[in-house]
Amino acid sequence: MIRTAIKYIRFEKTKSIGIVIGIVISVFLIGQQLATLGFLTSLMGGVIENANPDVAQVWVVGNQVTQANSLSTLNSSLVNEIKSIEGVKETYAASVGAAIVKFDNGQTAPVILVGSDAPYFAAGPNPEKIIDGSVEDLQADRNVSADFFDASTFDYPIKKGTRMEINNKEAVISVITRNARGFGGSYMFTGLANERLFTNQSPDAINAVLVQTKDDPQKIAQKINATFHGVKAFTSNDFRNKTVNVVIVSSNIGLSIGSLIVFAVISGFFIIGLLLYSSTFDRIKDYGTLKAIGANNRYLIKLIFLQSLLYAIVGFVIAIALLFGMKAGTEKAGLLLQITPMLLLELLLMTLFISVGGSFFAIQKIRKLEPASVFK
Amino acid sequence: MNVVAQLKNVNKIYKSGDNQVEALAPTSIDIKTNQLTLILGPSGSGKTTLLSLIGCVIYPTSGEIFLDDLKINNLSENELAKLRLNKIGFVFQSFNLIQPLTALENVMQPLLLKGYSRKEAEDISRKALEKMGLSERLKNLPKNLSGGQQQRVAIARALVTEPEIILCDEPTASLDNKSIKVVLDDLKELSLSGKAVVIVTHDDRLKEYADCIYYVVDGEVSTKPHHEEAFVFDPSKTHSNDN
Repeated sequence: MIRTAIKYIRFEKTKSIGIVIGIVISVFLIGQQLATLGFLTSLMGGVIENANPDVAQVWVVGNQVTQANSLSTLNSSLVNEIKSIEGVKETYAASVGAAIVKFDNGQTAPVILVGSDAPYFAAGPNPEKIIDGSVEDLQADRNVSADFFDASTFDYPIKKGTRMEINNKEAVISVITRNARGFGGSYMFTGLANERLFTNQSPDAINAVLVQTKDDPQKIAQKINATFHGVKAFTSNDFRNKTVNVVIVSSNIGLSIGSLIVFAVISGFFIIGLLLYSSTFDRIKDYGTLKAIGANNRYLIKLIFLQSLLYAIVGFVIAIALLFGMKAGTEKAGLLLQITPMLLLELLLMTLFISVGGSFFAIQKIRKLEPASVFK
Repeated sequence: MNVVAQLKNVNKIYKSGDNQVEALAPTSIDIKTNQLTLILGPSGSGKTTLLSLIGCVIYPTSGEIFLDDLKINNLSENELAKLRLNKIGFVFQSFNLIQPLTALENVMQPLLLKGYSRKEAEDISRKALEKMGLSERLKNLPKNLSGGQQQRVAIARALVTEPEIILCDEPTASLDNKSIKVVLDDLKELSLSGKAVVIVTHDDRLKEYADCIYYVVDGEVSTKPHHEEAFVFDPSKTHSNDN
């Protein structure tokens, strides 16, 4: 039957091309939006995304904190106090502060300084994101990291050894990261002492305690919450999800992208549905003839279903190829589309919904078609 | 001669809102093997309704239809489809070849529906078309065949499952005089080989081929032409549009 379905598709070339283009546009739009959302959510995770995942398993922050991009001040004594909890392997202080960077050409830009100490630099940068330099260099006096993609934000070439001022204090870039960025600004990672120096933060003040655990991080977070008042402990995953949810809702990005996706699915469903219906209507005499000579509804529905499935496969493959092409094209500009296996699966299901679901109208037409119609 | 299809006091009423139209008055006829039965009538007389009833394509409003002693009135649509597939071959007025498929694939369709493998269906269909003198046209799409060739493909498709009954709806309407003779000779030969061939037409030139003629006028079926003038063939009206 698949050969017959292919013959039907090839016979109606213009409409078939229209159907495939409709699927490609819908799936590409949905995919591009979801992949962009994936990229944006990775930025929204902010300091959590850029922290060293091997050591920053639990985040302890002020109990008023709702997301990682706005942390309150804690007392540094908490670092040792939390270490006494059973199941905690090690604790690390993290300090985050806003600053202004000024380059020798006079260009200035706001940055977020993230400080934590050697050897692990628990608050970041994530070692996997370092493309030049060694993380230990950040412990040296006035050394900071800068991100490759922030060159355009700073309007200044970013490379190791670049000298500039942070809050009017001399600083040097010793580590280059790739995509260790935040949603609201550019991150520069450094040692705790450097961060305090640049932001004039008190030595007793920190913004988070990062906890490395021996046991299940979820249990440790619960223990900390039960033991300490005025703080909240989250596993890094929970804190990231909470942060992303808060940013998505407060920035309306979720609503904006979500409505665009819904619109693309609905319009795709109806455009494909009507084109399939029209294509079936054009061949109604053929379907009527098949019914008259002995084909039952099940056979004909299978034939239509197969056609829509073939359209879905072709449309999906082209849309995904375009999506990967776009990903390659936008990577250089710093837009790192997140095309994950889960996203591909979601897109495949949406393609099937648009295409196979769209065949509903055609199937209804065929179900009601009377075999006697061929005699008219 | 055996009776393969029997209509007992069958009528057909079409309803449209509050209106009722009796397309066929109560009718009883027998369709027999080894016979070429002609159903003759003008456009709109009800002859296609009669053909649809014999072909198990529609249900009667009242009366009984038997196919090989099987009463079809209470069969489901799927059971009727199966019955048509196994017992009846259709030749349509405008051939009704499936346009995206080649001549060979058109003939293969009933066999594939019956569950034959593609290879088996292809072998049988190829032989059927060769028998019709179309061995050079197996891979042609219907649009690349002449009217006569299309009709022969349609006949091959109707015969390929070896049905007992061949129903032809205005089989000569789209053909030139030369092709009409070829097709009618073929159909006559089929009836002589043991098939029950039923032809619905408004072309009374086909009478000479018939073993049995039913005349249909205004839904009334008779074995005698009560309105002879109604059947004078008008070549300008080669396409009828019956209900």
